[in-house]
Amino acid sequence: MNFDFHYAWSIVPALLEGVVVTLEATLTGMVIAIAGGLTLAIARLSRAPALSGVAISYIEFFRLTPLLVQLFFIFYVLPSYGIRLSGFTCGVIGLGLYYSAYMSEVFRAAIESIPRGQWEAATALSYSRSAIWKRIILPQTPPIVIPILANYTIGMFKESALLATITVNELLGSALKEASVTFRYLETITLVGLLYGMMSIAASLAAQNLERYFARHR
Amino acid sequence: MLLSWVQWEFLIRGASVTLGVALLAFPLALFVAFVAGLSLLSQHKIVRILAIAYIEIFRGTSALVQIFFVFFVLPLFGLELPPIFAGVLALGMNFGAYGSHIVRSTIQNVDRGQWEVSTALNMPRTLAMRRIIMPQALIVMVPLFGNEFIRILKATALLSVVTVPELTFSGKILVGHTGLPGAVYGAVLLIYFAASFPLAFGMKWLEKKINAQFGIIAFARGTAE
Amino acid sequence: MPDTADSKAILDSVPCVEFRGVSKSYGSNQVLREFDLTVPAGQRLALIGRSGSGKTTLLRLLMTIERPDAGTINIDGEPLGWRSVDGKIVWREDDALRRVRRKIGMVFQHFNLFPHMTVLNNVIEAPTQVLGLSKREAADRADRLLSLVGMREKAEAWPRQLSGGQQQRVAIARALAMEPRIMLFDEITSALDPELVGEVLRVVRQIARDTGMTMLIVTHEMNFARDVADRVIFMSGGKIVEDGLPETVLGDPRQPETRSFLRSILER
Repeated sequence: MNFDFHYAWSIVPALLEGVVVTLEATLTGMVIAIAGGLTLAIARLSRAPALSGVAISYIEFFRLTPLLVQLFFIFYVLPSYGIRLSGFTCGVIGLGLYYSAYMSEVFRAAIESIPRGQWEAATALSYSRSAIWKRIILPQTPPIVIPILANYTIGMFKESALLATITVNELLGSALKEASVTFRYLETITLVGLLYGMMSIAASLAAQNLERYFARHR
Repeated sequence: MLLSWVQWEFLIRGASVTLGVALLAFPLALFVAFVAGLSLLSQHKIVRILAIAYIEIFRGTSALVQIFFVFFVLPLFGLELPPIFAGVLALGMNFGAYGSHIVRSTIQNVDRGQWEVSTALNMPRTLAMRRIIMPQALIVMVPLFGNEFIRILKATALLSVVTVPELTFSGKILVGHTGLPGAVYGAVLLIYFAASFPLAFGMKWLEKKINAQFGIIAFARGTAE
Repeated sequence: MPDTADSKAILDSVPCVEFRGVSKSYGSNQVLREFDLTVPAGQRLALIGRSGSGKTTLLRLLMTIERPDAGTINIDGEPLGWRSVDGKIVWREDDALRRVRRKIGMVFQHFNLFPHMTVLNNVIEAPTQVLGLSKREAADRADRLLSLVGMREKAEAWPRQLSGGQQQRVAIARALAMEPRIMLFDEITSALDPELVGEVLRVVRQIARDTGMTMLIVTHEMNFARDVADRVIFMSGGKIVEDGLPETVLGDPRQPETRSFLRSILER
């Protein structure tokens, strides 16, 4: 079996288009995950048992079931309720919901690592609860959260490959689409691996630098 | 519930394949994790570099890409495996890469003082490693690898795209027959949850027990996958 | 317990511990600079001083947990670690080192008990694995030593279940199980709650009374030092500032730096 470099080179543009879709999906998914994660974390830490119970159930369910099946559920079930969303949108929603469960645990750990004394001092200074959250607690979370967030972004970047199974033409999807026509799986999958690999290694190095930066400036 | 007994049974059969694949991939992942993890700690630079290369390759691409590689590309080089074993190989190599970090970090995180007191008791380094350091690392590894097993269980769902008859693939077939994606995938999700939840709960309990008995803090901070 | 007759015979011949021109730095911080110290066999030496003065480093160098950047350490006239190989001075981690190091035992500030073993197993581990004792012999030895430190009833307990004072006493038994001739005590009560300090110091006083071991004790407990030591050294900036009898160094020191240090300790 020989590697056809000429063919490989010719499909690079199509694959790069797929990379753009991958990046779009990752970024959008991450935005949803952060927003969702923060909400879940606050709900989880709430003193109302109903609220924290719902949050805990959500977190456990989304973390202990496969993302792939969650994506299938969203993609195939919504149309029967009249909601016709593109594969991309379903995929992004799926990524967002799944990762918010993980992000919420990160936020929760960061919030819980803030010394109790700060809550007490703020209360003594007559801050309202929402003000304590907004002005004292949450602003202290970024140094702890951002490095981990970076790692999860890289994780989502790689897992976005799953969107290929719901007709999205991100990187893997474009490659499989190409291979289904030419049957040249060797070049397509190798290139996919190389592209994912190079990008995630570069991103990991950047994330490590980020981690070092935040470890120094704590 | 919304599905008949026969349909549930069909899914459960798929779930047993899921379990079987996981039970095969897990030991492979453990083996690879130890080889790679200990290699990361080796005195020889070349060994460390090989380990890092392997880990970066398998962590840099997602399990799905690796599954496709084993399933579509390896046959072109003469290695044609039945889908289940292709899946076991891909998952084993993938999770071995993640597991190697568990092996390395648990060993490195054994308190410095344990090495020092081993020197004070005149133990050669290899003896200290074997009797003092590794046992402590292994104790911490158990709940961590338990969590990895849960992640492997979830990852077997990816094998549905290469037609391995596990739970998710069974679900796909059932949806084709019944036209009820909500009921079927809902049931599939429930089965995954029913399998993972007791394990996850068990690991948390185990962590507490270990801490109570040994005081070795079992840290758990995994990545989402 | 080490034989006092044994150590008395050596007492007349060769100094037990000797530091010659020892230097050690951590990064840019030079902790010891061409340090000299001779400790005769059987001496009880207390080392006092501020943190960073080099006293703990001395013990760690002696126990070969750290390596000196320069100089030599001799035990009974034999060099520890550094040897001349083909004209070059190299550090060899080998049987020769282990033979010399066997004479030394150490108890640490943070006890460092093996958390995955019971108290009894903690004490018999090194004698069986390193000295080659049978389990029976090691267990007998452990039994005696645990009785000595008052932890015999807790032989089947796990370190996690013990208080700091109890753990430290087990650590002492564990170190003694190797029958060292030189015992190093590195601030062994500094990590303990105040009410647990006494039980540990009592054990050390008893060891001092009942054996002829050479003891190097780094401590902040001045009364204890006065009781047990026959020589006290005050260190500062990697140098010996004052060296003499406990009554002198602790009671009526000659150096102003010693005085101010002692005053700051008393103000605690």
